Amino acid sequence: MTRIFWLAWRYVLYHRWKTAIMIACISLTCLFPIAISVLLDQFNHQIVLRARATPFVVGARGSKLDLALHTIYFEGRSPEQIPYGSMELVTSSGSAAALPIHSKYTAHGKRVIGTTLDYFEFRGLVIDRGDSLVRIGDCVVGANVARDLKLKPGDQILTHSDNIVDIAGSYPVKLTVTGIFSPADSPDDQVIFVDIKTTWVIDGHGHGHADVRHVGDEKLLGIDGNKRIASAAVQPYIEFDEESLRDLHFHGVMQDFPVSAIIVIPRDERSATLLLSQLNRSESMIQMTEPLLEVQQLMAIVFQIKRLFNANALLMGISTLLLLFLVVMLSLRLREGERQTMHKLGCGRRTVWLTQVTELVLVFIFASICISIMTILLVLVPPDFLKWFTVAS
Amino acid sequence: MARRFAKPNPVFVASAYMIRLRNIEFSHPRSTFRLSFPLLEIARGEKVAIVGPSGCGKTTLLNLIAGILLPQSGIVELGGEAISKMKDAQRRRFRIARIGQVFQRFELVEYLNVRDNILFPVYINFLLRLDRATMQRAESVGEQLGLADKMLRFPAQLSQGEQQRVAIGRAMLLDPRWILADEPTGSLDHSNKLKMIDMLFEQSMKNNSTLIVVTHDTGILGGFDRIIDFAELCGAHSEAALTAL
Repeated sequence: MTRIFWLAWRYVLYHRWKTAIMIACISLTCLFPIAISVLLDQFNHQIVLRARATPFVVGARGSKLDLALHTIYFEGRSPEQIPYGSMELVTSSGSAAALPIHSKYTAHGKRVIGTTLDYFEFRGLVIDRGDSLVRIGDCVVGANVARDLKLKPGDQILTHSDNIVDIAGSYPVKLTVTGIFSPADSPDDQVIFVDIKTTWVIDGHGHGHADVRHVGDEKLLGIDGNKRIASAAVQPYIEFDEESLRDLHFHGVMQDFPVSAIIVIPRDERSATLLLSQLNRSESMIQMTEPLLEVQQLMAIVFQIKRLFNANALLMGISTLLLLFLVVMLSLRLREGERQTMHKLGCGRRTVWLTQVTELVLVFIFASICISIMTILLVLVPPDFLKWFTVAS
Repeated sequence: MARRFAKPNPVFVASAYMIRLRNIEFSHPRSTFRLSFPLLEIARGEKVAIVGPSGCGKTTLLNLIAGILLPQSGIVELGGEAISKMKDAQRRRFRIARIGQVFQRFELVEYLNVRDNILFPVYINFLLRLDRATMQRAESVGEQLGLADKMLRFPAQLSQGEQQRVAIGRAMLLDPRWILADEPTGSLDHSNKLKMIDMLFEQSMKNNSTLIVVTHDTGILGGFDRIIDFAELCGAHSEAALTAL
């Protein structure tokens, strides 16, 4: 038997390119459905993990799935905003904690998330370098943002402004990096965190500028009693230091200031049920949803699509096997002379066939090894995009 | 000069190395071809050429002698042993151990190097030991045939002349008593044909082996002890007796 394997090995070695192509054909055909299955399982695991770690989300009425996905992954278009006062609806009874999420703005292509310090604790985010948020204008960046934008504590980044009171010009806000989070292998690595009030400053609800009592008449639009109305020539501060922070003030009522969503952490199941019924009334302008349910519904659709992939993979597998069968049959026909020689030299018919079948077995063994290695690599080193769906622990 | 249709040379006496085919009747199951003759004897050390046109049964005769084909009736004896009565495994063992075969197109194994091609009969027969002595024997055969520096080359890297020598080396590995060569010069030019025949003679004489060469090439018949013309066995005379030759 050793000699048969040796002869088969020599054949495979001599025809290494032909063998490599056959191994590649088998490996790729088998790897495709295996990879889809493994990646999908991992994806499902990670997405469910993150969703499970986010009990409920409150946001504007509309697609619950969009609301849930945006709040937990910060991806896609920001949902319609709701007033910050909605937080009170959640927390007033003391049955739940609430974390505001403001996700309207970006800086250097990275999402700027306005929230409170409680969010960091909720997600288990740990500061690797620098300090946490101290004042308005401070930001703490995710590990990937720091890597991509080469940021370190003390650096400054400009937001991409979308100012609601900006008529004559746009005033981006300069954020100061106070800290960098340790990698969490989650969407939190991809964003810039600021205090919720900072996002309201970016919104234009809060701003600082030169004292209008001391600006020249050319920058005044008029005087209404003891009220001086400044023109756009009086530019708001875009950078926050001790002086500008002293002049910082908010226009309007905080309860009316916007947030994109609110993460709700109910005290118990009963509190959750009460909140769900209270916030999901038909006349309500807001809705409360459970990300886990939304994600599970999404995954149910994804797994249905996977069945299509499986059917496709099966057809591909059959056609590849038929092609391989054809190649093997043609190869056997071409090697008829070799079999005759072996027989004439005294080799039994069974041994002759066994030798040539062993070559095929070797090809399948190598293909299996390739498939196994690739599958192990897929499991051990999941593609980057899967990491986004993990939750920090 | 060789004698056509000559009777066995009187110096070749019947011995344990004699080839004897008696009352042979053979027909291919899927053709009308028939071969029939009462007696053919070839003595030890004899160098015999079997000539005749294509399809007259020369290769069939070699296959009968080698035990690759079995006659419907009659007996094929090699060295007193009835090879045609042996069981398949026994016959294969006998063939591999005692008969050296050289084929028309050499039929070397493309994926094995020269050394392994010479050793090929041992690789495919588990009854034969593949030990250090066998390996050394292969090296020695290669050296004798002038292939010492080409032992690790593959057939595709060899000239036709070198391929011939490898084919002969493979046939000689186990010091066969009988050497059967089927059209060994069929695909060679004239000078290579003569070299091939010389090498076969040389190896045959070295081991005192019986050499039977099937050929339709009359240009190489010079050194043979006996020439058997198979033409008379073809067509209407397919049942002619070889012993009458």
